[in-house]
Amino acid sequence: MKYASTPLLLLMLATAAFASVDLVTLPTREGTQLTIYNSEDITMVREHRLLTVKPGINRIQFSWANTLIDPTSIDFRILDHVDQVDLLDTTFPSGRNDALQWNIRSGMAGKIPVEIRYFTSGITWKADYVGMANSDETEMGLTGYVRVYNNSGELYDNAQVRLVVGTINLVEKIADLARRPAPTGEILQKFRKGKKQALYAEMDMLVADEGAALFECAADDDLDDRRKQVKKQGLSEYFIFTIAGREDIKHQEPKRLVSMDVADVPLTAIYKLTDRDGGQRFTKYYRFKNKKLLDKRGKEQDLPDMENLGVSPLPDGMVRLFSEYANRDLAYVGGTSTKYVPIGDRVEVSVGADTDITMIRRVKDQGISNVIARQYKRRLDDEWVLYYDLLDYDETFVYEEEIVSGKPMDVEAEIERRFNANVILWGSEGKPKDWNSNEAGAYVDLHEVESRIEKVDQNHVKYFLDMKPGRKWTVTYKVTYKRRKVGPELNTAKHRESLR
Amino acid sequence: MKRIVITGLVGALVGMLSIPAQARIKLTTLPERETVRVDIKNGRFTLVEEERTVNLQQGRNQVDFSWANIGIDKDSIVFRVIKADGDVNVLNTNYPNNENALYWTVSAANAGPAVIRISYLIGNMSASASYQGIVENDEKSLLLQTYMTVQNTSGEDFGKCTVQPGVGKTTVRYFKNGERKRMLASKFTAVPIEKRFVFDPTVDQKRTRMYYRLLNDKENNMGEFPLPRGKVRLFIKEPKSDDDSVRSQAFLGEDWGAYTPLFAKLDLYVGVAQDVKVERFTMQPKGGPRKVVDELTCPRILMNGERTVTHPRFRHQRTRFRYRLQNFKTANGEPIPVPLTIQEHVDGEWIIENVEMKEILGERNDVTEKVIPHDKMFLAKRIDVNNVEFEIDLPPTTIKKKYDLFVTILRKHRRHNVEPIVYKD
Repeated sequence: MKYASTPLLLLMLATAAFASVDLVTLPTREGTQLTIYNSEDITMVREHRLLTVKPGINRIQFSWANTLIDPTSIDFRILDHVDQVDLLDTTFPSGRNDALQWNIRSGMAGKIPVEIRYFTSGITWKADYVGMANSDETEMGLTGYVRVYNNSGELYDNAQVRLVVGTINLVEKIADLARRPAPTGEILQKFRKGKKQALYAEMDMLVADEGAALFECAADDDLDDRRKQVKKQGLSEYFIFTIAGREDIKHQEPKRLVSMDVADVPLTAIYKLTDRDGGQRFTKYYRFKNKKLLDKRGKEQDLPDMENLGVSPLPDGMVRLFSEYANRDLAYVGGTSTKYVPIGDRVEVSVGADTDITMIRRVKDQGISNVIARQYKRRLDDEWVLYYDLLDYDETFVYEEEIVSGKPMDVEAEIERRFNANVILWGSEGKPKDWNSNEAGAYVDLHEVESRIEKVDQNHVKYFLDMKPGRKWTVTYKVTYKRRKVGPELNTAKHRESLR
Repeated sequence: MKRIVITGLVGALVGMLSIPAQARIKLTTLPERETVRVDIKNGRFTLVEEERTVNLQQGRNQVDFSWANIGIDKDSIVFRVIKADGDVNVLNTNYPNNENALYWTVSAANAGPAVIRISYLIGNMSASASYQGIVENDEKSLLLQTYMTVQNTSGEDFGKCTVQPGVGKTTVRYFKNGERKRMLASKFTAVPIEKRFVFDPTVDQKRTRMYYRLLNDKENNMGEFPLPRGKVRLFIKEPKSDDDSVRSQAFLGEDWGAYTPLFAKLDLYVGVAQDVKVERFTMQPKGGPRKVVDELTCPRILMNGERTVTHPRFRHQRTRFRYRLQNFKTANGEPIPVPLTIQEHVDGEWIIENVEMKEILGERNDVTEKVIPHDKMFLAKRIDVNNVEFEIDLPPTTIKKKYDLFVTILRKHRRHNVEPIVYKD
């Protein structure tokens, strides 16, 4: 008895409430823009659509079955008639995570342009480079490519494509958010399967209204045989590469485009040897600057952005380097990945180990001096036994490094050495005040080396050689490790007694 | 049948209700909910308040309230008369056995309509905050919108109701069981941004991070309520270009916005600032090796009163860092200075003993170093005993011009070896 009238009431209420409701389905896309990030699996999609509304409340459905769209990211923006049209709320229906409804109050009848923006995962892009150096390694032609991959399950046809260079912070993965089930439990699960396909189909089947395209579309891009221009623009800490015109970004069909093609980039080769990676072999690096190219008089050349450096940072990516001989034969020099290079900074690309420059390191002499020992007695069972600690001593090593360049041209080399104690350096800046100090440390004497000596940190020292072909370089240096033990009261492990 | 039913019985029902004094049926009305307010401020319980008009007869009346499939806390139900002609009093509340129902016995001085408000607590509704920031192109200010997402799994289908999810208030036309609703709860316009470049070697040894700092106070166009925790997604307005009739926005990054009380700051990690490079090296303190530690010498008083000298196992310890600073940041093609913050984590008693800024010109064998005054570009800020921040106005650099910042931190009274010395006879 008590509940008998309830459904009726519901029905009445429902009828009353929905009398002014119009269910509007979304018309097809007028324009699509993809902004693809490479640091994270995230792509921002903007769609523009023209929506026909009636005065009163309009309910708009949007659904996205079988895609990797993050439902929490979907945003609805009314682009015109903002004073007459108002978004009331966004409702996610029960038990579903692939559809939503927007409730809009409109004071007018007609078409309004709207923007729907959301994040999807599954679309990524990568940069890669091909460098072609001339035979004497002074100049290089550099071609940069961008490659777009779409594994999102969705075809984005005729879309404006923009690529973001930079590392954004994401606190949750978009793919996880997209796959997260709707937060209700058993409620209305059965309702799910039957209707979502229909709703989705309904959404896309509607015929597009005519109207101006909101993203300007370059006419018939595919018929244009010229290379696509890539516009580069800085934004906060990132750069946006906009590919001119429109592209079809198809599912599982990577697309590669040229992002730059620069000729005659000044190049230097540098050879480094460091104890950080064993200190046995020289590694060759190509260095060039991400700066605008200069002409012979040292003035900045007037080149298109696509054919110049220093216009945008270089995104991280794989670099493949070739060298071209005079007869135009190619040799593969090496491949490596490069980090992001800011405008004005230098790129240093490892080309790999180079055996043309050799280093032989010999320990020419070693010795121990200035030994101070402390003797003490210790009880062992019923006897006192005499022991001694080697308290302080100086250990000296004399090294000779023989470096030979087998290159036919002048080369620049850098050698970094590590010493396993705090370094006190006698280098190009003269003898330090503490050279005769009695404190522990590595007293490195490199003053006879004909180069500037750089102290990198408390253990590393670097020196530079400008090597001419056909000459042997001999570098001799000495290091004295002053070993000092701490006083006995800090060395509690051993109980000592003085020999009174 | 997930319903809350309220029945105003004028007089009493036979059988079910046995109030002998008014044992006659007159008219049963089913008053409609006039206003409903759903308050989800409390994390565990949701307060529902509904107003209905019941027609009361002079004398004793009975108002029935029942529900099904919804978790109402029975003891939380509050019955109040908001508007009535003459005195209306609740005489008692009755809980019928084994039923999700109760009825009130209400006495009315005069017959006529009375507006009553029933409040009760239900479970299984939740609200969470998220934010959207639209940053101006110059990154000086942003529009911060708070969105509240309310989820209804209470079992009840609400009709038109006002939802108060802690922040803001929205009237919705329906709110069914199982649904989630996302609504705009507040909007702060032109909130100033402090853009910070932060290098913290304990977080990332190689890269500098870019943060936005907002202040939740009136001066900064916020300060209306403490901001609840939620994800903040930041977008930036792009410069208006010809091939887009609507101004584009690009996604900048997202971060969890911590709960931010009034007057507190909200730091948001937006992304990596790859144009600002900091490298950190541990160096030998200036003045040679003996400067690493300062051994303390203290007077010692023996048991017999004799005074001697001891070197307790406390030492001062120096750490000297070299930061290689490079700034390749550009705006409109021109190099610009950036405000850089370097964070170091120390503990105990410490002071910044020495600061030196060097300009490094040239490369390889042609390097020249020059100590430059740092007063105007460097500031050491003691945050607390564990944290120190170095703020640097870093001018633009090139490949052939860099800066080296040397900072010596003296940490005092470090205990080296804590196990006690065992003295034997």
